[in-house]
Amino acid sequence: MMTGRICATFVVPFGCSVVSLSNKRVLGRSFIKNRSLCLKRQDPRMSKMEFDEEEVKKICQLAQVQVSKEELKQFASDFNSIVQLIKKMDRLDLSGTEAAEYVIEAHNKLREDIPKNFQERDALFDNAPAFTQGFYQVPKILEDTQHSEN
Amino acid sequence: MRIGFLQVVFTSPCCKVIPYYVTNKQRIVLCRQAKEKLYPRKHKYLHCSCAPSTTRTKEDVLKHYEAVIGIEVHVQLATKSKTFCACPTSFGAKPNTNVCPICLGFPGTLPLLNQEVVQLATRAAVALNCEIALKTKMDRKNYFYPDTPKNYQISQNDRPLGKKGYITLPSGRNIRIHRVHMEEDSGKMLHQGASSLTGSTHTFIDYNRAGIPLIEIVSEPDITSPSEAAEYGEELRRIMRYIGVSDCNMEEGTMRLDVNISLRRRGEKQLGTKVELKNINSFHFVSRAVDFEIIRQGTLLLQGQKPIQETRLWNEKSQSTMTMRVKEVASDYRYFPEPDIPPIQLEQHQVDAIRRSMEELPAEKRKRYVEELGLSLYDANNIANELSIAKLFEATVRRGVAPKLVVNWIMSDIMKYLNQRRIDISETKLNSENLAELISLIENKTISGRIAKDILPILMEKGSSVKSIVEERGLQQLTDKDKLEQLIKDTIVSYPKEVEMYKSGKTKLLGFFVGQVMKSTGGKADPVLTNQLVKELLSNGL
Repeated sequence: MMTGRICATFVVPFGCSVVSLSNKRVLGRSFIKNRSLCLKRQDPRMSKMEFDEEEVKKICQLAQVQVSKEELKQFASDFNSIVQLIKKMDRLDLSGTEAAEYVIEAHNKLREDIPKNFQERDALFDNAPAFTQGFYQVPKILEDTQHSEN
Repeated sequence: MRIGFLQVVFTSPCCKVIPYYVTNKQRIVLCRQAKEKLYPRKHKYLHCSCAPSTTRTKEDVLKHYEAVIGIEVHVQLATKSKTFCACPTSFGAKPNTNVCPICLGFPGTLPLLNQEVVQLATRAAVALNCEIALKTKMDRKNYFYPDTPKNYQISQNDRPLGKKGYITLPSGRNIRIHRVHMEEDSGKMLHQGASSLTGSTHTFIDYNRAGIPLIEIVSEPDITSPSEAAEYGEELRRIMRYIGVSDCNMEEGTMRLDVNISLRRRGEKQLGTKVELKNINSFHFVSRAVDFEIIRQGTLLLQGQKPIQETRLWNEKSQSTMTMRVKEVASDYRYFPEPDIPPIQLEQHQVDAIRRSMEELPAEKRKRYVEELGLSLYDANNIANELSIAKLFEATVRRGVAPKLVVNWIMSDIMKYLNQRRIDISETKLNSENLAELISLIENKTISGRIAKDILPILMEKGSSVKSIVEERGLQQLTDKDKLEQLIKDTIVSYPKEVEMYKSGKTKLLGFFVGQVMKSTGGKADPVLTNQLVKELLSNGL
């Protein structure tokens, strides 16, 4: 589970989208991003993805995952081996295909605007560490470094 | 808060930030400079580089620099349920009653997009003259903060619903719109304690607001002055209300504004340091806050310093902005396409249908009123302000009443009645039919203007035709010359002293006699005729 979680968080910062290996014929009118993403993948700067401990530390901060110094080294090498795995795709000739954001054909799955009250709310609040006077109670956070309230 | 740790929290009403320490007894100890600043021994005002003596005036600043302003507006869409779940969006509900596992971010839940959100957002983007992205998608914006239960917000990043639009302000200027996109709102945090900076260590969170649909409208930095900034906000609000996308009520939080302002030397193309202003909750404060910022940033620039790139909060009490947060690095939100929401594909004919069926927008109405109906710009602005009033005006004019007369009635008596009771015209029984009737009856002298003003509230409350009210209550104007002359003679005879005073030169008493005649007829006498006859009779002698 841990590796899976790390996988999701590290793949994203580098702008990789879900790449479809099947060619256009099978997907039909799938959602096609413009060609620039394909070019981005083959950009020499992108393929030089070597993780050092600083970057791993930053990624773990973004994911709010605590790591010890020994784990940092281990993760750096793990990340690098995962990147190597994905780099194998660069060996394929994908010039005929276009990058897709969504693999399945579905679109416009919308629901009607009908309000409905959820009844078993108390069961939800029972899960909270602190819930008083109808409010969720949390420790005060002075100022989040990344984001603050609207 | 760690013990002994240096926290940087207090701010003075300028850009200086004052440090304080936390002791092991959780008491807050101010360092010497901070103490001196917060509790000064002699001086009433805090010393800072923006002290009144060194502040430059706005004219000084504007001689050399020009303001470059952009505004970001969050508008809450008028849907009945939330964006991704069926929770109601009703305002004022008890805390945490409009919540469910989906908007609370419980594991295993999946969002499902509300179709009304797409409809209203598309309508808004079309009204703002944007290029609509027929293929659009939702993206995940990842960050950790207590008001965001899922630890991400489903928003739109690289393919917003609308791009490159514009709006036309009443002054005639066009402000370009950079983008319009859909997103969900976060929960409401209520800090417990003295203020939001210090005090107790708890925060209460109400998730009723989490998941409510919003559109974010980002303008290009085309706005150039404080009044234009307020005008932009008002016009945006007007448009959103016209098309029924939102009621844009700043007090209820259905419309929120953030202003980005920087100054640059006149004639230069490069932009200066951008400062973001938050917590502005009325259009009046928008222009005040921008005014303040122009002076503050201008003073710094004229002294050879550069403003810091930061976020500042508008403080209503001190009518000034204060540092909230200094961001050195842009946040890394790790945007990626939201996997749980399939992309949205609109057809061109759907967008065209929306454009065709849309209400005429305020800018078009104003233009039409001025050019075709000959209203003044001032009148056109006022009539086109609310759609319900504009509709009443147009319908009444269509029945053949002169536009200027309708304008006069609307802007004086009708607006007064509505404002006193804080209601909308649609909540009254006044419609174009009886308004047109009322005005035409004044024109053909069946009733006097004075009587008409009394009839108006009856029309508002009960409706019905004006003719029937006039007949019921016998309110017809008295225009019979002979009858009137007799009445005037009777009145004049009963005030011999005043007649003497009038004859000896006090011509102002004419008004007294006319008033007495009106009183005796219950206001039904024709005022113009009465005036004329009284003058004649008095001067010809009785």
